[in-house]
Amino acid sequence: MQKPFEVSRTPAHNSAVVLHVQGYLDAHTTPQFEEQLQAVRDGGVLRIVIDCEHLDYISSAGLGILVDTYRELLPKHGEIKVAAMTPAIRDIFDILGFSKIIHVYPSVAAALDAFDSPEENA
Amino acid sequence: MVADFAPGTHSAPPTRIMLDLPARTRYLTIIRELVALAAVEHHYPPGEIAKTVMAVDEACVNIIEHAYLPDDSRADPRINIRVDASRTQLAVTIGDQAQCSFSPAAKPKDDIDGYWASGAGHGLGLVILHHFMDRISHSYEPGRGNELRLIKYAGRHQAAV
Repeated sequence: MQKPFEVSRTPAHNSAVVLHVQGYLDAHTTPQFEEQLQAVRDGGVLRIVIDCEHLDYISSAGLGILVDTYRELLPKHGEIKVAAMTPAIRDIFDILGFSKIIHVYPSVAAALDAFDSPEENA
Repeated sequence: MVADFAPGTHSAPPTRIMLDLPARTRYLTIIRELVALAAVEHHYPPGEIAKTVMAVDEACVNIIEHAYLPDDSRADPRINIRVDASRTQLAVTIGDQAQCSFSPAAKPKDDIDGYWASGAGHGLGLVILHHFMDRISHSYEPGRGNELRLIKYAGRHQAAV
């Protein structure tokens, strides 16, 4: 029944890092996610994409970490983006207003491309 | 909030599921899946199931992290879940044996827009609870603990309490 929560990271071509999250991001697993995010930030990375393709659930704890990271990166001209959300998680993200703050993309590739988009950086 | 959906015509008898678990976050997945299973049996729409599951999850986290005080001396704090699902409503009753009254039933001062306007700090769980459920009630009995009841109505608007 219980799916393990896993986070893995891959570097991207434009100094970004992609964090691939899998399973349930809830009050129990959020510390693990936060630790990974912190390790990425400690490495000086300012461009982060969260790959949500295999994310099955996100609670307020997980959402809060995303916003905290967004706020930390903003004054440094960095950004966190999310990609490939399932429709159910996207709905929750939209209803709660998170998509007004954090940009959502249909794929990791689209999110990475957006970092270099003149329109987004204008 | 408005729940403008109907579970449709089906003949499944009402479902009651009861569960007694350690009040620890590692068991949240079981609670979420239990609520979802009961709702699916009675054909609630996926979007409403997702909202209910999230609200129950947030309520349980509140109990685990806040109702049971750090100096609570009991060796094994518990959380009790009862799910009553039918074609008319999905009710989840969450009990604890905490030594303090902890009521999330009072409506928070912020709705979702207010949450963001106020800086989006703490309190999202409570906003979720009130935004996603149709009715919330709470009782506390010294020596017995808290009982929180969350209801999602099927088919028609019900005002939140």
